[in-house]
Formats: sequence, structure tokens, C-alpha cells
Amino acid sequence: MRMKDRTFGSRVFDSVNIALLFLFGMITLVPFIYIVAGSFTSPEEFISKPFLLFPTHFSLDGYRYVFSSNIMFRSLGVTVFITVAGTLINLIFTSLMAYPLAKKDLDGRRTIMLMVTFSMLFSGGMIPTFLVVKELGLLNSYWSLLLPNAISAFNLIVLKNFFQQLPEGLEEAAKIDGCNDMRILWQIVIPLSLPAMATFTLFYAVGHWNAFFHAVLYINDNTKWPVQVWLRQIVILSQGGVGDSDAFDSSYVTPPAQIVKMAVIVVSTIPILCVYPFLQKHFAKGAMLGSVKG
Amino acid sequence: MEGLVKRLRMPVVSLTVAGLLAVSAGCSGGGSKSPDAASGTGDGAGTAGSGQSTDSSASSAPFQITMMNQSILAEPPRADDPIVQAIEKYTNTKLDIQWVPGTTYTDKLNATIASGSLPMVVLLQDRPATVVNAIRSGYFWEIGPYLKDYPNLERAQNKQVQKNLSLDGKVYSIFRSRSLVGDGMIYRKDWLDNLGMKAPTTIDELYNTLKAFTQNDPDKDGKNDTVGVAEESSLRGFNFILAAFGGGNQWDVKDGKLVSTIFSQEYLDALNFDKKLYQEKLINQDFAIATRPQNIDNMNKGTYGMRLGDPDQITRHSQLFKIEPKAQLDVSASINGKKGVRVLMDKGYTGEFVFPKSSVKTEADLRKILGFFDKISDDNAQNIFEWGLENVHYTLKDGKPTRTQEQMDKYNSEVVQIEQTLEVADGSRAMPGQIDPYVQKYKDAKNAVMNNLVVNPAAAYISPTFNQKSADLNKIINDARIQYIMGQIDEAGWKNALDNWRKSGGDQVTEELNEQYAKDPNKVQVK
Repeated sequence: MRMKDRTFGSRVFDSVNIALLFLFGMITLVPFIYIVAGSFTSPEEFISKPFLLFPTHFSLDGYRYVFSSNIMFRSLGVTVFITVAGTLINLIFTSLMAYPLAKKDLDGRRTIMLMVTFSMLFSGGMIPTFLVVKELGLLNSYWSLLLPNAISAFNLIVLKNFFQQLPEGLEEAAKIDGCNDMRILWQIVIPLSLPAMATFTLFYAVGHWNAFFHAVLYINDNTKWPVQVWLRQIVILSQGGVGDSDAFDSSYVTPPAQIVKMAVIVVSTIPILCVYPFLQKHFAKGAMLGSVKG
Repeated sequence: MEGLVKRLRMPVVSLTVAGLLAVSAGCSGGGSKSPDAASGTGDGAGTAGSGQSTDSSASSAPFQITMMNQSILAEPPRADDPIVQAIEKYTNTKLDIQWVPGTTYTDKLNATIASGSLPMVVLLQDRPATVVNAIRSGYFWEIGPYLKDYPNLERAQNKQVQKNLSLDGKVYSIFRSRSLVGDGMIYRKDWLDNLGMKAPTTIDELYNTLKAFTQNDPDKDGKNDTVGVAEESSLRGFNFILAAFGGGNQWDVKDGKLVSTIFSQEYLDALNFDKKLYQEKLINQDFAIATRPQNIDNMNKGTYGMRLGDPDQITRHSQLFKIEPKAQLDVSASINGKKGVRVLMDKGYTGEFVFPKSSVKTEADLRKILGFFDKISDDNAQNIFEWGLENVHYTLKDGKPTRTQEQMDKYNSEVVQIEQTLEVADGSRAMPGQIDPYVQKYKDAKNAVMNNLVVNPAAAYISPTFNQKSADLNKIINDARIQYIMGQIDEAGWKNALDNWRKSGGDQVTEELNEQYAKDPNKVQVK
């Protein structure tokens, strides 16, 4: 009797739960569908309907506008390069610094950690950073996008804590078997830290993918601009917001601003969205790092 | 670590090498000037007549001008842009322009100023306190005394705007000229025709038109789905109404002293007019949160009968004709108001060029740069900016330039951006030709009120307090205006807001401006 009751109750609970979550999931999906649908709608239909999820007239006007010059493809290439190279640099440098800091017998560990934490709270600001980049001769080269943010203080601390949680015996055993420190890091610690590495890959990659401000600041040559610089310019322009664009002929922005904006959002989000599923299984585990003290 | 340093150095070294190569190539190119000089492009013909061999050899090597400018389209001009090349050839210069996306221009400018590596010509979008300080401490050349030697440039620069842009009575910049008329109304001509009405020319007619646009089904679809006029959260159209009611341009002169226009009866009259429109639902009821793109879209849908603001914007409604092929638009800025036809003068420029002493080292170099701007302000150069290259961007028909659609597209992608960013004259000396009818309409509308402009008597003065607190001060007034129009506060509430404005720094601003006004020998007289 009780068993049956419970199963019935829990069945009801489950179905209500599933229905609610499904509904909730749908609600969160609607804006995305709206954006994707909007980007494929013909301008006339988009303007004349207050809200639409399923366009009846397909049109690529928005995308045609976004891709109207091959600059978009070139800068997408730049962004992919920066994302891949930058993330690699980030991961290498962050783990190289985090690993020794995870060792309790490292001399001056406290001081270094204090300096790292300090940099999290107080940053130099835009102009001093610009001066450093300039004096290092990085201006106008991709290095200016890869090196200044090679290590994120926050990620470094989280990774350090993760390394600390690994059983010490493991490394001792490796050491007894003849491993040196570098080999322990690459062959034992890193493989064991895959969830953390995956999480930081994503964090860093998204950061590089969205790189915009540094590129404008450090890169003068517009053939080297990453895609976000263009996209932002297109979005602002399509709203009539740059300079005195009032004076422009309307033939500049043939599709309405909203469609262009939506196409831009799709173009700039889809690629990085594609990376998510592959890292997701590590993600929950990695993001919880340090939330429970072992 | 050493490896890293090496890898770091690589781009630096290669850049340096490339730079050296470029310099030496430039030198050798300049040395063997003969091909350019021999081909005699005809551009230099005017000056070459008197020039002797030494003179011409000195002038035949292109003078290199480095520049930081704002890119206003998604894509900056390409390095091989034909118009840039045409300008270079015409002025015998080599332009090295660094294009910065418009949205982050100020940050980039600040960083570049701090790093001390400014190019020879720098565009300023506005003047933040850092720039004002830099100008005052002699960071940039004062060009006022030289201008008289450059007649084209001098003619291209409107005197009133130049005065407004001067600092402590001195001229430091060449500004990019723009229309002095920034207000007007864009309305549905076909709706007026449907209603048997004429374009409004007085305040009462304006009110009646808006009423008919809202209530008399101007689009003849049997539905009550139209709104008289579109307004946006910035109250873009308010200045137009204010001018009609006889209000001043930000500052009035009363008993020889500057007083902010917000205290005037005319200001309150204009607010009351908007309030009436709101109460009778002749204005979009969501104006307090509406943005301009939304209003443009709604006008394109056929919701609004009128939009207030820059007459130029009439060209932003191409979508309307696709949705409603019968739609017609017209534009006007002439309302015969309480003090006759008046329009508040717009600032008349967009961005200004300044010349840092750190990069323009000698007076001779400064003169060469001024000579460049002089040359691009003459009639021929204005033709290049306004029309492009013959048979590429336009064709001459009966001596008048005309454009095909194809040439129009090419003009839009290759010329307009250069024109907007580089031309300092207003293009009025270019050949008259066949242009887009809607462009013609707004030009006509602006010309019609060219002599009815109300100037801002305080435009040339700088108030440190206002520079610091302008955001707060403007917010007090903007919020109060919207609340007043929506009926949330009454006249007493408006007076409260004015008191609040005065106490929050407004009095100090008034005092600071009056101090300079009293000392100014050429102060503006406001009628």
C-alpha cells in the first residue's frame, strides 16, 4: 500500500517535474529561436510582424550584409588562430605556474600568492598596460593579444587548489620511479586534472573568442583585427550609431538593423557554441573546483 | 625562457626590418622623382609655372602625413582605396592613416596620447578634460594665425563654428564641416494628401496635422492604428518645438547675462505642447523608453505620420517603400512660430583635427599639413569627395554629373567613408548634379532655413563644472521633462527640478560661463 502510494506520488511528482522543467527549458530556448529565426527572415516580414518564431519567407539578407566583404572570413581566421594559440599559451603558462605554487615546500610561495591576489584586486589600468605592451614592442602584432593575459589570476588560484587536492603519494611514487618534476606534471598531474583543464580551456577560449577591446587598442593594422571588432562595428552601424552616420545614404544598411544584429549574434556565437558539448562532460566537475574543502 | 624572448623578438625585428626597407624604398622613390614630375599630371600645373627646377624637385617628393582617424563604416577604407590615391596624387602627399573603429576611438586616443606616440594629424571626436588640458599646456599647434594664408580652408571653415571651437579665443583645430541645421520634421506626404491637408507651417497647423494623422485614419485602412508623431527617450524632437515657441539655443541672453533656456517661458510652452500631444495620444505613448531604431522601424511599418529630428534621416526609410509602395515622404524645417521661422543652430561640425607638436616638429611641416587641408578644400577636391572619379563613380551628362545605381553602390562603398572622415569642407562647392530625390529634399529643407538659425551664445566657453557634472545636470532636466510631459509632475514640480538643477551645479556653470561671456570682445548678440 505504502509502496504503491509512493510510486504513484513520485510518478506524479516526476511528471509534473518533467513538464515544468520542459516548459522552463522551452522558455529559455525561445529567445535563441527568435534570434535565429529573425536572422533568416525577410526584412519586410520581420518589420511587419511583432514577433515571430517561424519565418514564412526565408531570406539571407542579414548574412549577405554581414558577409558582404571577405574581411569577415579573414577575421574569422584571425579569431580562430588567436583562440587556439592563445588558449594553448594560457593553459601551458597557467599550469606551469600553478603546479609549483601547489607545493607547500616552495620557498616564497606565500609572497607570490599575495602578489597574484593583489593583481586580482588592483589592476594597472588601460594606459599603463598599453605602455607596457608598447615598450615590449608588441604593438600591432598578434603577440599583444596572446601574451598580456597569458595567466588569469583567478584561474591560476583555482587550478593551484585543484593540484593541491591530488594525493601526494602519487607524485612520490612517480618520483621514486625516476620521474623529474616536469615529467610528473605532464604525465601524471595534467592527465589527472582533465576536468579542470577542460574547464579552463573553455574559459580561456571564450575570452579569446570575444577578444575585442585589446584588439582595438593594440592592433593598428585592420587586416589583423579579430572578428568581434568588425561585428561590433556592424551592429553599432546598423543602429545608426557611429559618427554622424545620419548623413549616410540608406543604401548602406539595406536590411533593417535588427536582422543584421541577429545575423551577427548567430555568426559570432555558433562557433564557440560548437565547442561547448565536447567540454561539457568535464564542465560540471571542473567548475565545482574548490567549492568543497577536502 | 630564452626561447620565448627570441620568439618575442622575432616580430619586432622583422617589423623593424620591414620599416627600414619601407623607409629606404620611400627615399629612393623620392630620389628618382622624374617619372612623377615628368608625367606632369596637370594638378601641379598652377604652381609649377613659376617653380624652378630646384623648387619643383622639392615639391615633387610626396610629403608624408600620418593620421589617426575614425572608421565609421564596418570596414575601414582599404589601403589601395582609389579615392585616397586620387587625393594623394592631387595633393602630392602620402597619407598614412590609422583607422580606428568608431566605438572605441576615445579609449584608443587616450592610450595613444599617454604613450606619447601620436601621429601628425589626430582626429578628436570631442574634447574630454584631458584633451583640454593638453591643448592649454601647449601640446598642440595653435593654427589660428596661419589660416589666413590658406584661402580655400579659411572659406570652408564657418566662422561661427570656428569661434565655438576655439579655446580661450585661440584656434587649434580644423573641423569637419557639417550642416548647421539639425532639426526638422519628416512626414507622410501621402497621408496629408489622403486627408486633403497641406504640410504644417505654424504651430497650430502642426497640432491639427498630428491630430488628423492620429484620429482621421490617414492610411485609409479603416483601422485606428496610426500615431501622429514619434518621439524618443532623448526627446530628439523637442528642440524643433522649442524653436517654434521662440526658445533659445541652450542659453539665452537676459540683461547682458547668460541664462539657461530651461528657465524661459518658451521652454515651458514647448513642454506644455508636448504634454498636450501626450494627453491626447497624438504622440507614441511609450516615448519615454523608445529608441531611435525602434521609431525608424515603426515609421517604416506605417505606424507614424511624422518623425522629428535630423532632416537627413529621411533617407533612412527605404524599407517603408517596400512595405507600402504608395507611401511618400517629405521633409521640412520651416515652422512659422511665435518669433517667426527659427531653427536652433546645430553644432555644425563632427570631429576636428589637431596637430601635436611632438610629431609635427617644425612650422614648415605644419604649413605643409595646412596646405594639404587647403588643397582638399578647393573646388576640384570637393568634386572628388562629393562625386568620386569620373566614369567610375559618376558620368557627365550635359556637363552635369549623374550616377547609375551601379555607380551609386561603388560610390557608397569607396567614396562616402573617405568623404565623411577626411573632407573638412561641406562639399557645397562641388558641381551641382543629379542626386537622389530624397537627398535633394533634405538639402532643400535645410537651405530654406539657413538664414533663420538661432545660435548658442555660450558655445565657445568652457565650464569646468559642466564638464564634470554634465551627466547629472542633464539627467535632472531630462527626467523632469519626461515626467512633466507624462503628467507625473506639474508646474511646481518642474520648478523644483529647476531649483535642483541650480543647486546641483547649474548656478556655478552659469557663473563660469558668464565670467567668460563678460570678457569676450566678440560676444554673440542674441535677438
